[in-house]
Amino acid sequence: MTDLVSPPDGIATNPPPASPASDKKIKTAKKTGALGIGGWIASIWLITLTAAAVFAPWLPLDDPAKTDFSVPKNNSSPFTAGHLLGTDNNGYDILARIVWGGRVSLVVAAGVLIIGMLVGGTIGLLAGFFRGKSETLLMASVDVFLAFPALILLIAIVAFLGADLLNVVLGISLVSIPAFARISRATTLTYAQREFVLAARAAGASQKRILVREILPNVILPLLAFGLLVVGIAIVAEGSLAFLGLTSTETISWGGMINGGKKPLQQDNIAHTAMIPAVTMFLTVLAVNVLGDRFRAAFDVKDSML
Amino acid sequence: MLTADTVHDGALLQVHDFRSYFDTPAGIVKAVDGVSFTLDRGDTLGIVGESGSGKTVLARSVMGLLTGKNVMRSGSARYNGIELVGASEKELRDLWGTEMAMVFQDPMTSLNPVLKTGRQITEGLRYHLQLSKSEARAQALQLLDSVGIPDPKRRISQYPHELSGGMRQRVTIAIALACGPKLLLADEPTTALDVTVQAQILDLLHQQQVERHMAMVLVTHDLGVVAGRTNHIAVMYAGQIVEYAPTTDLFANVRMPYTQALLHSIPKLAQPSHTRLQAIAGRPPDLINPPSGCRFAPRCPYVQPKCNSEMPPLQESETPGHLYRCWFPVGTEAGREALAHNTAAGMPAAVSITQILADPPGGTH
Repeated sequence: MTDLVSPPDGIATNPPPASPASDKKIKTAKKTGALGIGGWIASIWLITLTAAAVFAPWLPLDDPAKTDFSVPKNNSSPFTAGHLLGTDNNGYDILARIVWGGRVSLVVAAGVLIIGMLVGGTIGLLAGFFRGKSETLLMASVDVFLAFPALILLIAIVAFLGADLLNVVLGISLVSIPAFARISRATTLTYAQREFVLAARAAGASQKRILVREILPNVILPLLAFGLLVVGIAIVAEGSLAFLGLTSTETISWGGMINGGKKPLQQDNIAHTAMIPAVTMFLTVLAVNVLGDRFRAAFDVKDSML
Repeated sequence: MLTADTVHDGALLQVHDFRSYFDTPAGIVKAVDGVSFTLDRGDTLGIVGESGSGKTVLARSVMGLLTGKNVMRSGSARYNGIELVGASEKELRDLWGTEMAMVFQDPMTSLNPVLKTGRQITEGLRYHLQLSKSEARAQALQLLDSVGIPDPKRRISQYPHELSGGMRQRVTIAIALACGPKLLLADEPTTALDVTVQAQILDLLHQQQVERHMAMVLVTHDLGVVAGRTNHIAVMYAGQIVEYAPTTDLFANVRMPYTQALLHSIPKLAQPSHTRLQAIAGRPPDLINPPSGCRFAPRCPYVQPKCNSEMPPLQESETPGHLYRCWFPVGTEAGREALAHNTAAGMPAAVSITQILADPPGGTH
């Protein structure tokens, strides 16, 4: 804006000229968008990992189930010939097993996200919208699961149903449903009271239509942001089960790899067999959390601007 | 489905002895207590009253939007001959949107923050009128254009937070008008808006109303808003209509002391600057246990012993169609005597009214 009439001396004009520092900040914020640099690194890490896991059978990797005894002591360190990340004490190629283990983490993450969000989200949505007896019933049945410590319940489920991947996914989903349901119900409660819901009713929309078209789009965003956090928790939960030896030994997973690296670490002071899968899991969970946080912040903007 | 077009008995909306009570832990709140009025096709009724007088509850419960378990409606509200009190949600839904629609007070909250404006307008069009996606879009563009939104093609794909307050209210009006309702209930449509935008929105409502030959109920707390834009005005106080008259007659011959007090509480251009506004002392009565006599009696400058014991009926003045609820109406001999008596007794409200009447600030009123 240009001032047509210059103000008399001594009268402050606003706004004050923007300092170069704040200018720079705005520029970087614009360049990296809502994600920020951390968010970009996190997305690149996750995309690489996902792509590698999905295309694992076609990648030029060693067979993760093939032992290579040509390397000395079966525990070769990273960057040895033929094995970028070295081999473990069984002579397995660690890089190949990280990628194949990523498949398991991916399946667990996706499965838990879909099942937990569909079931938990629906329960919360219905409870928060219809209130009354159905709310009491739905939330009470969900709260029962909150009474058990999650990991103990998970171990019990896996022990009871058997330790294959499907049961692990189902078990973790079941444990995550109460959290999804509570968040979905809380968000639904706030939005169901908003005037635009009344406006939609006044325009002749049915209950079902209001729920699906007016409230759901508002509830799905916080639910997705929370879902990303749950993905991190699910990956760790699967790792914990595998580490404790409660999942099938046939399945290659990061938790199992850490477990396998325990002995070399304690007896022979060889760290990389345990550390590489541990760091991979740590970075993945961190990346998921960073992204979840960024998404939440990005969606909050819309509300705060209202 | 109820067919609205088969019944024609002149009036579009007939409300008779309508009551809307809320059952609360503290007691039964008589938010609307025996309201009657008639609205003809194409006419505008202004409902005026201060906060808590029951005007919003009246508008919403006539339409049937209040469906909580603690809401008790009784009396009669007939839209085009169809009884709305006691109608099921499904029957009402056939009328909502297509026959009657509502514009809400705050466009910040009455639009869905995560849906594009276009989608919010086409929603009703596609659902009620079964238009195709492209037809609905074309219709939405036309609606946005008709409510005075520049560059509708761009606005249609924007989110509510990208629009200004006035523009958002225009969008809510477009949504309300989308399916061509014959009755529009505007619940304080300008209260949340900037003063400079208020007149534009009111003019828009009026223009749309004339074009569409639509009846409108304009709920507001501002007598200035309804002054030039309504055929009739109903002044509400504590859940009752205390004065009901054709707009011109109401301003020319105020009968009810409450209406007079409302008029004096509006600043006028002719007044010298720094004139103190005549606020109405006290607060509206408790609607759980309203006063047994006239409900305005505790705050009224004309109050007499009779007012505290007997509730005045809604009676017609010498002007036909002008109803008021008062024992000692303004502008009559009884009223003048009551005021003189109270002024002599030194009642502050009466003294200040007497002063204003004797020496109208800035000329005649």
